[in-house]
Amino acid sequence: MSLLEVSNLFVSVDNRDILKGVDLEVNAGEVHAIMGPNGSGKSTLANALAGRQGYSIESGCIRLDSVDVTSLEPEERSHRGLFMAFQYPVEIPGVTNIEFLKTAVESHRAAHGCNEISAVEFMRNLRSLTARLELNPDFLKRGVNESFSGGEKKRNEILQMLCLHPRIALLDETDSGLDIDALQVVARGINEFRSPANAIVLVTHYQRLLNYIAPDYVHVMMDGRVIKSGDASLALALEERGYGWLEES
Amino acid sequence: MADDFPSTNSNISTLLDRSRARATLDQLGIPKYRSENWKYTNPKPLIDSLSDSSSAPHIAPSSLGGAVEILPFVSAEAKGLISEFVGALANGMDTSMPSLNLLNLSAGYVIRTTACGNGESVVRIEANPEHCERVLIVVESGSTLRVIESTEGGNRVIECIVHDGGTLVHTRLQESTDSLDYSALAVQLGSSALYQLDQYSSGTRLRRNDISIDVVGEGSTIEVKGGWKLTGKSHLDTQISVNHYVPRSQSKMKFHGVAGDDSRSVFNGRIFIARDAQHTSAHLNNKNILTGENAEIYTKPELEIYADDVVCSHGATSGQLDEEQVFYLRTRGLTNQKARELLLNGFLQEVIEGDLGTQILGLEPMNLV
Ligand SMILES: Nc1ncnc2c1ncn2[C@@H]1O[C@H](COP(=O)(O)OP(=O)(O)OP(=O)(O)O)[C@@H](O)[C@H]1O
Ligand SMILES: [Mg+2]
Repeated sequence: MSLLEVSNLFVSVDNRDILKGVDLEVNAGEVHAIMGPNGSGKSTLANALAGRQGYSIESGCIRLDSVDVTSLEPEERSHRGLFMAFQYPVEIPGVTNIEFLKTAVESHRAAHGCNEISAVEFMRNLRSLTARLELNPDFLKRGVNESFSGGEKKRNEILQMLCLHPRIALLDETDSGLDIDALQVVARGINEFRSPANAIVLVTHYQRLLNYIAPDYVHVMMDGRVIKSGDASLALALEERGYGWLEES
Repeated sequence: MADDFPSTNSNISTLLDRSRARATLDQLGIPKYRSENWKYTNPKPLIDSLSDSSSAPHIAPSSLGGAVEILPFVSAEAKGLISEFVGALANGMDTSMPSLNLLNLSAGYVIRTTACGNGESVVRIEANPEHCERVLIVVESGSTLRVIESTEGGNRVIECIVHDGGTLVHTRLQESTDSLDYSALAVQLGSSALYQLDQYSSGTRLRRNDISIDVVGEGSTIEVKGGWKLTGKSHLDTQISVNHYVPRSQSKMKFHGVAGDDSRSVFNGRIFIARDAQHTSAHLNNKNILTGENAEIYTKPELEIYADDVVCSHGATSGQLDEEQVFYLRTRGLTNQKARELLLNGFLQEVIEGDLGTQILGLEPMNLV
């Protein structure tokens, strides 16, 4: 059964048409990679799926687990298992990372009718996750992403994903800005998360990440459309030949 | 003109030299709405309320431990200190409200450390609604005093002398109340002294804080943090002026305010650096978030610098909550309302020191498991 189904999605931002009919179907257990030149609409797609205000859906439909979520609030989509790792994670000074994570986890539990998690249990989970991501536990006490380096912010996105157990994770350039070791750590985190019950959509510019996380499908976006889809070999072809040959065809 | 304000308590007033207060009043005049310091706050209700006399008994400051004495103005031991200091500092402020306070005084106390180097002393100054009172704080050389002050309506002037090497840590909790609240605070720092003020204000019909801090000894440090959260029709006006008269001192001031509903938030922060005050470092910042559709924020930083070798910064901003931050939190499952609460909480927590401030502003305690 498809976890995420995007059909014929048209999205405009500030009265500018950005997405011009995107189709995408992601089933449980799959990993999809979305590639494409700068400005082709990859982040717009991710943000529209997450329910960002100002990204107006002109036509088309988004389904999560066969439920139409096109007009749901961002938090409702989150509660239904959608997660987006931001290309540019947001800094929130004053709110500690730990407070943020706890509030996020509690919001999900409340939405599913679960009672509050005990502080001890929450901390135990969190410590094991930070260790897995090789994040210094001090990051938990700092303001959310406040003065984090680019790579630290990306690892923090993955930490949030692992805390929230989404069914479908859209990771928007989570590999950008990571050093070689951090890329491996993050890739390991994503691979451990990967299961037959969930699915991952990776937005990336580089084959590098796909060496660690083998995609089942690769899609190329250009000018607001998915213009080509294929298997992992498509990413290798792009790495070799760039995007030009696709434009011509 | 000053005779329009007869003293209400002859016991106290005979002790005080009121000539300075009268002279200041003659010079500056009675505060008037729309004048320089009273652009957005009408002083009239505050002045009118001076002649109200309170039915509630006055609560004296109390010691919570340490080497400190608390003397009523009427006591014999207080006499010398009163004639030396009372009025001397506050009369230097550029408003005549402290003079009106002196002419209408109903209670006054001296708080003074009595030994140095023996750890810190702690004093609590209770709220005294509708009283007109004055407190003189003397921190002797090398001693440390912590003052926890509550205000909840009334008229209070506090003058503080921090002698060389002394430390005064001042936590001011301004509770929500229906009455009018006026506070003036005048601080003078000797050399290598430290003054730390943490001021938290919740909403009130009308509250005005005039603060003036003078650095007259080298190598001193001032750290001021303030936070407020206004709701309903409350009105808060804070005017602070830090004056560096000598070299090598530093001041850091950070204020965060939230104006909700129909409230009005006024802030004026001034840094003055005299020609001789080389190597001063002074920083002032005021950030405001507007959450109420009809709320108003007026903020103005002022710099007056006559020395050339100084490090100085000041800034003031006001705006709404950052929608980018709201969206980020919502994608993590927080409802729109919860996201906004958390952001405002965090914004105010940035200036909060300890749980007292958290309580006054009704904030969620930090989840630091
Ligand atoms: N708020 C906005 N207002 C106007 N135009 C926007 C807005 N957001 C995005 N766009 C435009 O939409 C187009 C697609 O942007 P998008 O961020 O989705 O590209 P992308 O494929 O993610 O690019 P990159 O690889 O650089 O991250 C770009 O031309 C961009 O300028
Ligand atoms: Mg992008």
